[in-house]
Amino acid sequence: MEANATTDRRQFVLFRLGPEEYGLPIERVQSIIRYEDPTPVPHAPAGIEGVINLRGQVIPVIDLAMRLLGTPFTPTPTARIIVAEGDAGLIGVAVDSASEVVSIPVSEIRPAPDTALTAETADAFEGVASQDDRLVILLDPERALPRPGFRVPADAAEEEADV
Amino acid sequence: MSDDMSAYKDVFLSESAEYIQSITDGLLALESDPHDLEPVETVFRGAHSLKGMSAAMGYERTAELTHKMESLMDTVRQRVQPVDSSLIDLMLRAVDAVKELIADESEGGAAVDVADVVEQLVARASAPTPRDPSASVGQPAAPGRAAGAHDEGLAYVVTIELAEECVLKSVRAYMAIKRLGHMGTVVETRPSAREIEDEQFDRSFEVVLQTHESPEAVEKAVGAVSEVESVKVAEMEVSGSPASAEETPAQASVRKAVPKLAETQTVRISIGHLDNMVNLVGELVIIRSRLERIARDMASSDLAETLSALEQVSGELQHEVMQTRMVPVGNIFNRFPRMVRDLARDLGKDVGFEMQGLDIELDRTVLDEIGDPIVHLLRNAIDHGIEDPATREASGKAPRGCVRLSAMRERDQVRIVVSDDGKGMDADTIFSKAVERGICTADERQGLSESDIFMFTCAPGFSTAASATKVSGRGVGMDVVKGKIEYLGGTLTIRSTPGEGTEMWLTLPLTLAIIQALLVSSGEQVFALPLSAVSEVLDLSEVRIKTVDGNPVVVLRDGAVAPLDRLDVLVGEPDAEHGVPGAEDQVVLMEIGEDVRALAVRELLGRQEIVIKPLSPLFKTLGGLGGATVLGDGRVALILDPRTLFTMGR
Repeated sequence: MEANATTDRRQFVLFRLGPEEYGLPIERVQSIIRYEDPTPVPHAPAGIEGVINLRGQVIPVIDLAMRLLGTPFTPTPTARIIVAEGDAGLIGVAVDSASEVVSIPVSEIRPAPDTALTAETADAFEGVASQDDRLVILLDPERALPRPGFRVPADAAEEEADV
Repeated sequence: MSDDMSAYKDVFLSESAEYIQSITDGLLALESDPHDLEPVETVFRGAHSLKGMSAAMGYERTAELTHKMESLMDTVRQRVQPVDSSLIDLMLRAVDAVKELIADESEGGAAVDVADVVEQLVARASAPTPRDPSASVGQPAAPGRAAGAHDEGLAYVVTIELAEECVLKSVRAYMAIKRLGHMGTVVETRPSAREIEDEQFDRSFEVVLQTHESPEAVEKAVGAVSEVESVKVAEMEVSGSPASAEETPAQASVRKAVPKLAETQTVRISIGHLDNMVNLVGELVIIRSRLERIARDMASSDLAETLSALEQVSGELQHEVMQTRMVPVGNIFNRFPRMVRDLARDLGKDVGFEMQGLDIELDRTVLDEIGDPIVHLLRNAIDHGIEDPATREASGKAPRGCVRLSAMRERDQVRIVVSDDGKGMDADTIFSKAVERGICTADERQGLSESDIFMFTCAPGFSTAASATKVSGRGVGMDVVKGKIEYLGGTLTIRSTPGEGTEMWLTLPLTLAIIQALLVSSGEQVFALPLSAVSEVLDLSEVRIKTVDGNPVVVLRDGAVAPLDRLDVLVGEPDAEHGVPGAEDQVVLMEIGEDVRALAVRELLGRQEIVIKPLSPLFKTLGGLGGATVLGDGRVALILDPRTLFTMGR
């Protein structure tokens, strides 16, 4: 969707979550840090692991595994947090591992096959692309990352805070 | 060169704002007590100073308008014209016009037309109005003060020549003209002030000055400006009759008391720099507490000693930085009297307005943000609170209503109260309206206190006004006010008694960034509790725990009973057990508004200064949390919000 006629390739940061490999557009990724246990936030919506200290800034860490795979994230020694820019500011995404940045021709991005989609995950995917012999699921950051007020409509104070 | 002039422009703009404020204050004082003519002097001198200043800047239309204001006030001063509400209205309109003109002329514009106001000022000044008998009784116009011509002193033409090597000619010229302005009235300059500003003159220029000073004094004053080569002062015949009064020696000494540029040593700093400093000091506090941890682990006495010195210095540094951001509330309150007056007039109400605690200081950021909410509350008080004079009299009240705005300091908070003695709020009416609007259901009435019900007026889409008036119904409602206050970390409380009036309490944190907190553990997690809400910490052995309807309560020493909640239950820890806390728990007593609540925590970890970091908007809908902070070990601790803590997760 960020693609236009003049860019025929797009770069994605690849990461692994359970059995699948996913890609996030590189322009949304700010940094990748080693996984640390987030501080849980009481009564937070499902899918949010908690908050971490990113160089003095407190950012939320979300559990995409819960949303995409239906199983809670379990940290491994290779686990990382991808710090991405979402609509609600910086958001950490807990992943099993992340290493590669790949450049994918726009023409090779295909819609995700309907059969692979459940209602839960449907709108998080932008498409799929083959990379060597692997299939990479490309995420639509606007939809895969939670947005503020996704439970209750944004209140006045919040709008003020964005000014 | 324009850079230099723009520096003068800034000075002019801030100085003129001060004069405009003092004129406004004077006029309002005059309106509230027309028999005390002292403010007339203030207004007259203010207009006079503005005239001189704007002439020096080349703002000719401003100079003209302020000259007419001065002339009119002079007739009042001589008791030719009485003080009445039409005079005050006219002068206030003129003040507004001055503001617009200055804004216009200082930007080089010519769009604002004030001919209408000027004409009215002139007409009023020459109107054969009958004297106000009460004002003149026993106070006949002083001899020599009768309206006469040429009594503003003699007019001189001052010819000033600058040194050949002078580089900043316009600046020197400005200084010379400013000096002359202090001695009398600068009537005109040749070439015009604008041309002088643009350095469109060779080496010499002329200033026509009206003054009581001797030519020698004038010459000396201007000669003292550096790079002025020669000064010639020649007497000039004044044509026309500038309406003004002779200055007696007593008045001349009063005139010297006109506030000049603030002489305290201050610098202007952009708020951005201050914010950066606050952030850096915040980081310093975090690093310090990290060092403290390391020192404890190492058990090094040298390090501990050095650290305590560091603690002291960083504490003072923090205090100083915070102080730089503190501004007296009077800075924003001073525009309210005028607003209240105009509004009361528009609504046909008779309202007296009082302000208290103008010297109470608040963090700059907080202060900038609360102006609009306070305006809204004042509007509400006048529009919905104060009744019209006839209704008030019918209910046995004084016809004039009273609106009060006060600020007071309370521990590390500032409380701002907007109160009125109007008709008050009726809980039942509000409740039924809230049910009507679907904000709550009728069977919830039992569990709600009056102040809970009053808070419904802050729910989005709630309005008690039967019809939207010009004042209310602008789409900005109490919900926005409440949202703003809470965004600033404050609270809004409403108290009201039907028939007696309403009080709106805004409780605001003194500063935004750093607070004192009590670190407590729920068993699994560390939380920070703002110390401002904590009134006491008790050991479980010191209190008696009972149950009321199966809910645990703490019986305090004075016999009062406070509901007891367990922190681990509130934050929803999986193995938390409801009911009475364990024997090793500690009890924290908290004051929330007028309620006392008890919180059982597993462990008290100590008191610490913490830097408040905002939580992601993702958590905005959660109750119980006021932000987050980074602890000495780099981990994040959540800050509990005492106001919503006890309803967390519900």
